[in-house]
Amino acid sequence: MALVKLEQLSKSVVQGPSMSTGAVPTMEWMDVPVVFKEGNYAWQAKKEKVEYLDSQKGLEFPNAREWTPEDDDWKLPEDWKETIIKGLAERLEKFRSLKIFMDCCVRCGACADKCHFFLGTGDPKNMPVLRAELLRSVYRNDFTLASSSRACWCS
Amino acid sequence: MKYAYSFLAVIALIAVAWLISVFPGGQYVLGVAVPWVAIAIFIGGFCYRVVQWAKAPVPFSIPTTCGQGKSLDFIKQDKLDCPSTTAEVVARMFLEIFTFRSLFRNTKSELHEGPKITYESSKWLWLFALLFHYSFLVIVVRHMRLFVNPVPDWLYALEFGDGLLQIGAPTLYMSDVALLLGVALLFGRRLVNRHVRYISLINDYFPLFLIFGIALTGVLMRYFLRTDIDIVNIKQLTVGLVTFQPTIGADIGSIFYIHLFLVCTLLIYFPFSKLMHMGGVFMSPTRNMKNDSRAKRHINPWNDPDIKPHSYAGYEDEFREFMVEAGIPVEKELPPKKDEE
Repeated sequence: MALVKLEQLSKSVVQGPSMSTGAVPTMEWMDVPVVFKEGNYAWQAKKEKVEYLDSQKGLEFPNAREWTPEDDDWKLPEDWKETIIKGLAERLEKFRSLKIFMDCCVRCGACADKCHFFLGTGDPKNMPVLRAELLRSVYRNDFTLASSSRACWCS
Repeated sequence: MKYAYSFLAVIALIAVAWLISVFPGGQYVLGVAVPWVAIAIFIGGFCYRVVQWAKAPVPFSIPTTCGQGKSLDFIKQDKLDCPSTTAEVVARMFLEIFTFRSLFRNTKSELHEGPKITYESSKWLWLFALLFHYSFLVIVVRHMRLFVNPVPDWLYALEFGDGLLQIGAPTLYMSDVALLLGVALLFGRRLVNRHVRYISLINDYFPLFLIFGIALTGVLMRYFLRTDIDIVNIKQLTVGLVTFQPTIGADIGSIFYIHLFLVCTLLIYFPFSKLMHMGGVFMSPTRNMKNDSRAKRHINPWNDPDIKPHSYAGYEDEFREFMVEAGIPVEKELPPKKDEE
């Protein structure tokens, strides 16, 4: 499967079931599982390279390990969720654009037809709005008034 | 299913408003307390949001460029799509806000055998959005007659223009029809367009239903359910609200309180939802910056002030010896060597 033939691809992109050929996914995008297979992910960095980078002054590349995205266990540190939320919080403070776009996307869907990743794959999750929505779902859950009030009610 | 939840939420709001309005004293809750709270939350929340945005720095110069930028004299600049001065930015922003220019340029793509991809202009979103926003604006401005006394002449002129077709009595306002139509079309688009249907959330459908509810109750009140809708009474209340001396004279029909309650819900909901795109469009760095990063250095506010700019001359001073050794041309040669001792 590693190598896809051009002829095959040029047919499947037009005929295969995808959002751009008229098929509609039966599952909500949140519930569609993510499948990692060779050819659709970037290779992980080798353990010794990460260790070397981490040893350099002023650089931080923690958690060097042997793994591939196809493994069930990615050997992530315990607090990986916290790392993501902290990272998002830091970026929201650093970038006005991120904050504004997290807050006021109206999901008009006009971005879908412009994105070559979506046009080429027909993968609904590759519509820019859904890529942003992935992050926005974290934002809504942890950074908005609704989430802080939920925390108040639940605690 | 998501639209069903949003629909039920609006129905529930209507039921709540109706229940409170028939209770004795409920009229003061719905007519005075809720509007005041709603206005306070709207103004406070809107300011809070804008201040939060303004506090976040803009590290990079990121205007959206959609045309030829300013370059050499004989290359024609696309001044609207790649503005390099404040005036050009203002012009682009003006067209964006008043004519939704970026939506006008929207395209739709289609895949064909080959494989071949085609793009065609798609103006539906632009048309529906324009219809919706302008009719909403006219209706909001028309409602200002409830808060000022005497009513200024330009408001009468606007009302006359809005009812120019002179259909029926009371005269049919075109904006009422346009708003209902606009909301219905935007909702229809969410259902029919399979991309948009897939990405739509409850918080996309809810404002549509809410605004449809507001428009519908308003239309019912003006044209059909006119019993107990005494406009003099209502104006007394609304003027009282803005002068902080509210009085509710005679009984006002429940439909008025339902209308008012839905408006208050919209005001409260507004600052915490995607409706904040009203403020966001002005604040968005991709739209309000000029593309002049080659003429003016954009300073990143979170740069470390201890890291000083390193000019080429300074770089050469630091490494001249090694550069000469490696045969790299230098602008200033090494000082003549003294004889070794």
